[in-house]
Amino acid sequence: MFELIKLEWKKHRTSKYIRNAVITTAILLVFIVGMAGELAADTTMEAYGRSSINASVDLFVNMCYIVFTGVMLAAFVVGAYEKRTINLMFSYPISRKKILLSKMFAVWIFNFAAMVVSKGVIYAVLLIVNVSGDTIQFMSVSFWLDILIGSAAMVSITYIALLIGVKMKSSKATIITAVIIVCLTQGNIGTYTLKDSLSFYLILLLLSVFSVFLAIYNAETKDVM
Amino acid sequence: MDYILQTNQVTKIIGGKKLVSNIDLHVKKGEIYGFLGLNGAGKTSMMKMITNLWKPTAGNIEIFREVLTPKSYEVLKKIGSIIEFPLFYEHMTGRENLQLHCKYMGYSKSGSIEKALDLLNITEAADKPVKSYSLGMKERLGIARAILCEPELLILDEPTNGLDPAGMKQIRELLRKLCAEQGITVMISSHILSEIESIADTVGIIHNGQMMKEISMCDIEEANQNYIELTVTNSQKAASVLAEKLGLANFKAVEDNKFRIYEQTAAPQAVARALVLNDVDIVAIGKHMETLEDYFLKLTGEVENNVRVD
Repeated sequence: MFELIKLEWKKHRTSKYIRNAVITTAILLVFIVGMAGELAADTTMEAYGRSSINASVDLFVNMCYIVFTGVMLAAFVVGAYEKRTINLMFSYPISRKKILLSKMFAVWIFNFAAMVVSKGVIYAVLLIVNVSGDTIQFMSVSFWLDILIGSAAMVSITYIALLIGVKMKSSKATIITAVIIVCLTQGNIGTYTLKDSLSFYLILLLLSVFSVFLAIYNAETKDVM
Repeated sequence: MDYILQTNQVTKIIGGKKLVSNIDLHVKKGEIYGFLGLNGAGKTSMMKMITNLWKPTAGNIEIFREVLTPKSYEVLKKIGSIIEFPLFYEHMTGRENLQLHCKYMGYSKSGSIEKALDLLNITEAADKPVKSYSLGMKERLGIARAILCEPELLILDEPTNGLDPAGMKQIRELLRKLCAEQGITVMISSHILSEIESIADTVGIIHNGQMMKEISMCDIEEANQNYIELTVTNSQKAASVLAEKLGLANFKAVEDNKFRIYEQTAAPQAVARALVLNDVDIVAIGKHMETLEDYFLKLTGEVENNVRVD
């Protein structure tokens, strides 16, 4: 399986995605450090509290990588149907489920890792420039656990976009769905937001598991057009 | 009989439309099997089912004496194929595409890529991205990929579509060589009959989703008669001369003023002499041999349709 995942990375020139992820993180960093500086001014700090820094790091990194995951799913999975290279893949002596799963895992692993690294780097820089005081518990297990679980959840729910993309055989639809997911999970209307609702996330997670299931359950017998 | 590939009453229905029905197809080990049919006759549908891309609605397919199931992956190791048109990862080079193919096929013999590139004369272009290739180059690369992992069975769906006449000839020679030297079995589809005629050992003719005939080329040659083709200016008079003066029964008018005489005893000289003596002007006369095309058209009935349209 890992061999297949590596081949997927190779096929899709993953170095290009790594470069883009680095650029994204750099831009986010500038943005957040700038904002943190603003927050550090006494009056705003009192108004918002120091912990709002952590929330905005989460917010921006999540937003970026949900779209990133959508783009990669479009290229790795939906694109294969669009460009019909999936016909070629299905002529190999490998189970179709495995082929499709390897594509999905290739995207998942990449984005999960990128998200964790990205958050780690941003927090580290914030710690060094020392604008957020003691809210960044760099040494605590729960701090890192939060990052790991949060990143895994965010990347996972983006797989809902797969359902739309594979059904419509359209990369554009996949990416648009990813953007809608960003709005739903990260956005707010006034003070109302779904961001903190655990049950909402659970529903999304179930939906994404269902999407993955739908994309592969009849792969072995379904005719590829 | 030892068939490497056999289909039993294969039917495929997609969206209520019957693409092929009750096809029985038999390919012997080590032969070149030409699969003939007009566009839309069902050639690609059959080949998709043989390579397990599609599953038959009814009937089954046996390859290497095993019935194909949705989980028959191992059998794909022994098959090289091009279905419809060769697909590549366009941003990668030809060589990278072949390397990738080897990895997925689980094949690791060194030097095989160079050999395949060389056989198809594409070594020079091997390090350019596939998106810069012409259609003919892609076909060549597709064939290189199909033969790369030493398959026992080659399934080629119209592989010479984008090739020039010289390229077609080269591919024909290559296939014949592979067949003779490595004992590869080749199933090749085409609607260009002359292309198949010179290489196939057996042909299967499919028409409107039905198998019309499976026959060896030797049998076709035997079954097809020689005939005298005759063009005259006055067809009525000519017909009466042929029937009455020469006593010929087995001839027919194929077009206005054009006859084909199938009687084996008739010699062109005698026919010419009789016609001239009876004041029938001859425009052309000559001995002919029925080609695969004639046979195909006779079988599929397309020739009558054409004449009616004319």
